[in-house]
Amino acid sequence: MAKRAFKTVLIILSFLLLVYMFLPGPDSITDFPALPDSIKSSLEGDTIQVPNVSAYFSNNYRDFVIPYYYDSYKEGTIVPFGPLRLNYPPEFAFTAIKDQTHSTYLEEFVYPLKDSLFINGLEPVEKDGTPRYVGGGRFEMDGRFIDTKVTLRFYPSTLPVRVAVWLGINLSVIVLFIMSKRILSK
Amino acid sequence: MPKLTTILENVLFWAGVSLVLFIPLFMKFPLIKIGGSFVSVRTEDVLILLTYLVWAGYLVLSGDIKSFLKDKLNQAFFAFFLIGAISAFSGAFLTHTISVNLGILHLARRIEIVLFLPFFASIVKTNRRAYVLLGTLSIVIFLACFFYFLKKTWDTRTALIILLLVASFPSFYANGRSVMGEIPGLAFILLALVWSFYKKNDFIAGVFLGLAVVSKPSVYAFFVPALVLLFFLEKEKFFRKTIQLGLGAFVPFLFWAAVYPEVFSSFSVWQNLKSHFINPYAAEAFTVIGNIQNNLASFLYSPTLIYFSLFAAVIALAGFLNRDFYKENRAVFAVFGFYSLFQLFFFLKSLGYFRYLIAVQVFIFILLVPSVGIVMERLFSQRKYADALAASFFALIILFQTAYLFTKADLFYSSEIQETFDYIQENFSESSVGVINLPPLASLVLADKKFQTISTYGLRDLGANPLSFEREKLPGIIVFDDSGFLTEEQKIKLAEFYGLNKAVGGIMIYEKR
Repeated sequence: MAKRAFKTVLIILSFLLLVYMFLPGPDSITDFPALPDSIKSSLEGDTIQVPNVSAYFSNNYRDFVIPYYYDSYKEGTIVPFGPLRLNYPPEFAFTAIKDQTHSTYLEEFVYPLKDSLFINGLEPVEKDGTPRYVGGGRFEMDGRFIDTKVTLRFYPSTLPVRVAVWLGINLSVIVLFIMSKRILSK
Repeated sequence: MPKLTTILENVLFWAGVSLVLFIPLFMKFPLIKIGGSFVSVRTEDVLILLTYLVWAGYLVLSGDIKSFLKDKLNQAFFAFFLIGAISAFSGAFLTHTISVNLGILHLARRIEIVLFLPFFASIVKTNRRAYVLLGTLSIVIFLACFFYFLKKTWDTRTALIILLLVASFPSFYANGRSVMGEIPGLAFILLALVWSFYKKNDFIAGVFLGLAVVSKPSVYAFFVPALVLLFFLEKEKFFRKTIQLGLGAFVPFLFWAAVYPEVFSSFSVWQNLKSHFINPYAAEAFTVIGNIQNNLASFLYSPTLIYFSLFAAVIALAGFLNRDFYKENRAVFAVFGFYSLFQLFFFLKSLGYFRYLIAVQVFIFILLVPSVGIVMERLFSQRKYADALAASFFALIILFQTAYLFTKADLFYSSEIQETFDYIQENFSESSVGVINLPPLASLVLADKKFQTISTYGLRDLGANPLSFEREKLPGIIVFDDSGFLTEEQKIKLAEFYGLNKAVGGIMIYEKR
């Protein structure tokens, strides 16, 4: 009886996992909105050279940017909960965004086993205009001085890959279940 | 087909030995760089892959593949590989946290390492092969630890010359092959010195020291007073360092007591240990003074002792000529000096066993190389001549030792001892065993089942001859290789109560009727 209930619970959990992995979400970086009152970067590396990357110059700091993209990511999918928020050291931006990406903060929003969005911020000056590091100064774009640059990189996954991983997880659970049963039965 | 599988079996065994030699000594040797990363395919990866390909062929041809796949431990490994593969796939295509080629390489590394266990289990078909692999592993681990210590003490060039001196030294193999504690103990001593001298952690140094002493008390016990005397000489935090060292050394001792509580609590064990350090041959009426006199008298007739005494003189001369050399390496000099004095005394009061001096000899090599450099610099004002002469000197010594190793060293290559022991284990595992003058075999037989006698250095019948017992106390089997050690009375007893069971080469196994 207990064995059957255990199996039923596993099957239900597996089905729920499959449903979660099937739920639609953003497909590419273009599904994420631009920052309010921002200028889209047309610098090399911020447009088409690296897939699913876009960057915005604006006066929005981290305390605004992070909740903004958290909400937009959550709204872009029908999963009933928000993404996980992970904080990384800025030097990881070279790997997560693209090579030679300057950074003062780097965060990731992730829906496990689905997709994730990296947000890299470069804030050379504090809100009051004082440089945050030696040589730090505002950006000049079209004759306008701008405080921050935010670079986004989206890592999507295709449906066949998700199904393959789901099958792999189920296979692993079955294998581990059989092996544990063998060990415990002795 | 059986012939092919036998060939493959031999190929795989020697491939296994090569892996044991190659991987620890030439670890992480980069072969093909993977673009856009710091990772390389290593030489060992290719060697292991080739070995596993041959192994796979062998498993299929020999029909062992079925039992290999059915083995539950192997199935657990396969489950581990499966989950690793799913994780790598997910990392490469779903979370994009790794690149595909790196994911495959990392997974392959885990597979190649974990498969070592079933691989070596599959190729070690006889005890002899297990001995060869363990002996090789013991020597390789020592060389790796030795090089580590040398790199910490001297520069790379000096370290390599010392390594060659030791690697071409016949006694090193004579001790290393038997895996009886000398070589593993020496590796522990070197690690203890690294932790004490360079990492300044006397507790960990104590743990390694304790392991060395447990490995071979008669060879490494005197490193304990040598290190304590060094702390005393340094005059800084003497009590703290000594207590830390002692506490560290206590850890392996506690472990030993927990694993062998009956040995630990046996009064006779402690009594034997005490008598071993006072006079282990008291029962045979050998006195310490007598042994010292004998050994001192034979000193001038021993090429080994003369060889190392000359080297020791060069070291002393270098320390005298260049005081900075002595001062900069005072810790090494002090530990080596104190230990050598204690151990030399222990050697002199024994029956002249050179294996007691193995660590002294290795330490002489450690100090010899920089010492020769210093002496040559004093003899020749021009550096290039001094360097050339020192290099020639070492090349000559290494050549001489290598030639000696393969010709006159007379290392024991026979497998008769192992085969005899295997036969006894298989057929007389419950019997008591009388071993007459075969110390290598006696060392493999459990103490509570063994009666042995040794005749050595012109001395006859050390220990109790098992054939001198009363009829009901005679051991189940008698093993010997030379009946010349038996008296007429013992030969009659052998013929009366025993029959020849088997002859392994020159070794006879007699079974009680």
